[in-house]
Amino acid sequence: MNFDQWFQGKARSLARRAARRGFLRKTGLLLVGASGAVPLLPVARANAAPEAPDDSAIAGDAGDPSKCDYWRNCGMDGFLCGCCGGSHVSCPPGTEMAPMTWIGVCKNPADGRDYIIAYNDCCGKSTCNRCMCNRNEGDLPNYFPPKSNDINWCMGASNNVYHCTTTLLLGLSVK
Amino acid sequence: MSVKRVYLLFVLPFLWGCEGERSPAAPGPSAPAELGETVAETGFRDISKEALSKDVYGKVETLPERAHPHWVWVADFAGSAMPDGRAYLYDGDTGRMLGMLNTGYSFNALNLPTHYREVYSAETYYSRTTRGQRTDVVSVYDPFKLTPVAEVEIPPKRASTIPRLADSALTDDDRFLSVFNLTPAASLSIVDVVERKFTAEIMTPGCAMTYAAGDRRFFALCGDGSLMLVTLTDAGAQAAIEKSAPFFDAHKDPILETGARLGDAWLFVSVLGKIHIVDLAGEQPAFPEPWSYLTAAEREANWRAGGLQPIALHEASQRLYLLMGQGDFFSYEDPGPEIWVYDLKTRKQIRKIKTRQPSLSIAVSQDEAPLLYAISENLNQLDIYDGAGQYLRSVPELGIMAALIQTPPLQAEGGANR
Repeated sequence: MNFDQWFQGKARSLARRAARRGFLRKTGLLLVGASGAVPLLPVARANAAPEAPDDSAIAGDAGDPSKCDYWRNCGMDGFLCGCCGGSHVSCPPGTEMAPMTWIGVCKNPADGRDYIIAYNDCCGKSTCNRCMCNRNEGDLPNYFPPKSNDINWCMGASNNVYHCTTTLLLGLSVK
Repeated sequence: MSVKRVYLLFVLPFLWGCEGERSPAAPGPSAPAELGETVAETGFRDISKEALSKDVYGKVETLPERAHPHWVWVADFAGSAMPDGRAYLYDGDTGRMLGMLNTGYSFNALNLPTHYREVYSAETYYSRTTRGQRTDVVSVYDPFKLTPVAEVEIPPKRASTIPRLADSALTDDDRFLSVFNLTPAASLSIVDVVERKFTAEIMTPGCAMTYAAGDRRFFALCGDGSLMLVTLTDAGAQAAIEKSAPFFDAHKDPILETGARLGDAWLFVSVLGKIHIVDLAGEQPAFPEPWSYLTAAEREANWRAGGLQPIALHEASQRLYLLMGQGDFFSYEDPGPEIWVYDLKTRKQIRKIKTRQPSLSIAVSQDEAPLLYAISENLNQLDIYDGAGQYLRSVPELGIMAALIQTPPLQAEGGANR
């Protein structure tokens, strides 16, 4: 789905009626550094038990990383890298993963627990334009960048040209 | 271009390659004999000097050097081809496209000075389109020839966002341009547009975007619900920075980024239905009591202002236009199916306009017979209404992914006539 199709369809079909054209999901926390260190910001914290149930245990699109309804995409706002030559946890060839990102907290339908997901952008090529996915919970305006999905997080990469977005699982959320 | 001229353009190179052949044996059934003979006798000629018809080769349009109040700029961030940002100029009275500017990667919007002798655009470029050396500039354009006339290099830190008008601003006297940076450290790049030079980078920690607040002041909105007032020296350097007390709750009832300017004040809409006023008449900002733009029933029905550019103000009549939609708290960037009109003097709603299709951005011209503009949800059509909401016309094929709408100022010189 390209951007235009997405815009046309979002108000009608997406559960969230996501009319936004943001890059980022609003549920995010500011992540600094590719090491994955999670600042102790107000939304959630990671603990040391990051493993979630295997996606194959999840029925339907919620278990399919190529679908917008994939459970980790609850905070997604961008093109799914799995449709662009990468995967939901890797960037397409020739791009660069942004070291800074926002994070969301998504409920895994298999175990009902909340996990912290980092939406690292892949950068250095122009927009992939495939599998646009936008689900809009928790987004705040741009004066609160850690929770704004209308900001291009490729600003933290060596080149800020936005291409697509991944969903790295960081850990279990302890609220 | 005339048939003759088309013929000449394509045939000349052919003849050039046929040395010794003097006959007008040019291909093409419609080739007039006299034209072929002329070419044969003289060889390769400068067709710009030919007077083959009343059409004149090389004519390029320019615009009349006074903006019409119904001209309208549409900022296109070209989301599916972001290095190719554009700004289109349309005539709202006819829907005709008048011209465009190329404005680089991750384009937000233009800055239109009140004198309108030139227009400004904060832009980002890579030397190889998507790679190579990044250069950020403020480009200066001739608003009637639509050509670049100057540029000022600024730090390569310009914020890349889904477009917001508040990503750059001009002081009220048109002297200094402020560009919002996010690396993610927040700062403003200040440019003296008269001297054509970058004068300062001013850090605005915890605060974002930039709004005009007088001749030497800007403010930024802060994540704690306050604003940061930035005062410049006459040389464009930092004179003072001061944070206000919080005047809204950024988490429970955030205000949307796009404000409307009314004299010394800015108006902002909140997600839960309030109009916040930032009064900048004094040395310190003041925050009069917010007022509700929703009735209890409307609030109960989950109406709220939203979209990318949800607020517009017709200053002379003090009519406030809000793009309205229904949905939960986080639907506030969704397209709105209605535009509600308020009288700012009475703070009463006076009209509800149903848009032709859900819309994402609205603006209104400032003349006595205003036009109301709305970009449709697919970002590829501009719907045009009169100030009372009567539908007039649409502009299809608006752009790649048009986002924001700007109208020329009315005042003075190149500005539009009332």
